[in-house]
Amino acid sequence: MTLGRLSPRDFAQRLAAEGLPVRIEPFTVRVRSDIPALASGLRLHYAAYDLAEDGFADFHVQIARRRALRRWIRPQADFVFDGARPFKPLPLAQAYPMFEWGFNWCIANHCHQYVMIHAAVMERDDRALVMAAPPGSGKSTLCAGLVCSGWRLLSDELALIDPDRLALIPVPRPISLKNASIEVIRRYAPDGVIGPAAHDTHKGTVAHLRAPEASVLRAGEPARPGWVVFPRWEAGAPARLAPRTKARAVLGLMENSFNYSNLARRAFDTLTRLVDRSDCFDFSYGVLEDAAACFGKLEPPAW
Amino acid sequence: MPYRLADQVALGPDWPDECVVYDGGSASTHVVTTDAMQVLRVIRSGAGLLPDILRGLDLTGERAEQAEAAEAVQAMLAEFSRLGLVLVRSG
Repeated sequence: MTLGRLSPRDFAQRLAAEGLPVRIEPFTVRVRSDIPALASGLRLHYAAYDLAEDGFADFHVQIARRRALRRWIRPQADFVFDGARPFKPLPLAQAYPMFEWGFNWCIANHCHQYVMIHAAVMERDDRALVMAAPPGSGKSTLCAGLVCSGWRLLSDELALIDPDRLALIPVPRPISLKNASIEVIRRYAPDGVIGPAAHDTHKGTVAHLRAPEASVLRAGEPARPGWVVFPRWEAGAPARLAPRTKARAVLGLMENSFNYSNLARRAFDTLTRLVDRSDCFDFSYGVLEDAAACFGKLEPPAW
Repeated sequence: MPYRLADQVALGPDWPDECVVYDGGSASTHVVTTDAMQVLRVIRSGAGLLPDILRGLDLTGERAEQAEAAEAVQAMLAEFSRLGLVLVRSG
């Protein structure tokens, strides 16, 4: 049963009481909260996701209201993970983005069975496009644009690489858009579902684009390596893919990895094999339409 | 002086322009030239002494060119040694 089948009342009641166990492949997260903004965000973005009925959850999280005076004066919420509060509280209005950021943190800090890269991952014809870049590079905008142009979304934030299968594991979730990107995507994909904007966050104004249902339905299908790209948005720059050596691509992935040092040799072997099977590029762009057209022409590697 | 690859060094694939080497001892990843990679592979295959390494590299050319290549290899060995990628075998 999907979350979207629950009535708004059941949804809010279960969320506030025992929590909702949401199957976000390859994980189950049990999320609990009595904050209406979180409930409406989850209903909007996760309607197509299954409820996990087996009682097991990889992560138990709560978005909890601060008590005492903070209940009334500039109310705040905490992200609670296994009873601990790893972050500073945020304004109640940021409850939904806080859930998304907190969930990213849960994965990045606990899932060392994967080599994890701060990267967006999309797929076309069973080939994964891994776009690794630090924040502010235009990665999420480009990811949203490509996903709205027919690429399958595997992840907006986290490339999960299974070292044994050398496969990119999907964890399709809403795409986080920041500041001017929100309007760029509204114009580029008028049919895309974008949730309410949260203002004055540490990243500026943030809104999430709902993951396409087709990507959610195919969340159990990993993808083979195809391309590794390091994007950079530059005002007025023409869309241009410039080849990058495989050695420099390994370094680029390493620099954007959450757990390269933890996994050591295993991460090195995984990244070199991934890059060996991928075509590698630096990519600069200024206009999303040109960028999407450029990626539409990418030929898959020969192997 | 006989050389050997440090135990925790892993060599990446052979790529046409640059290659990568992982040193588990220092948890460092190095980008090396294809020539340097070839030298490391020859050492890994068991060649420890400079003449054996040079033979393993299958150098061609005049005597002067070979001497120049030997000098370059010696410089590489010194750098590898400094980085801890190769060790000087005792005994």
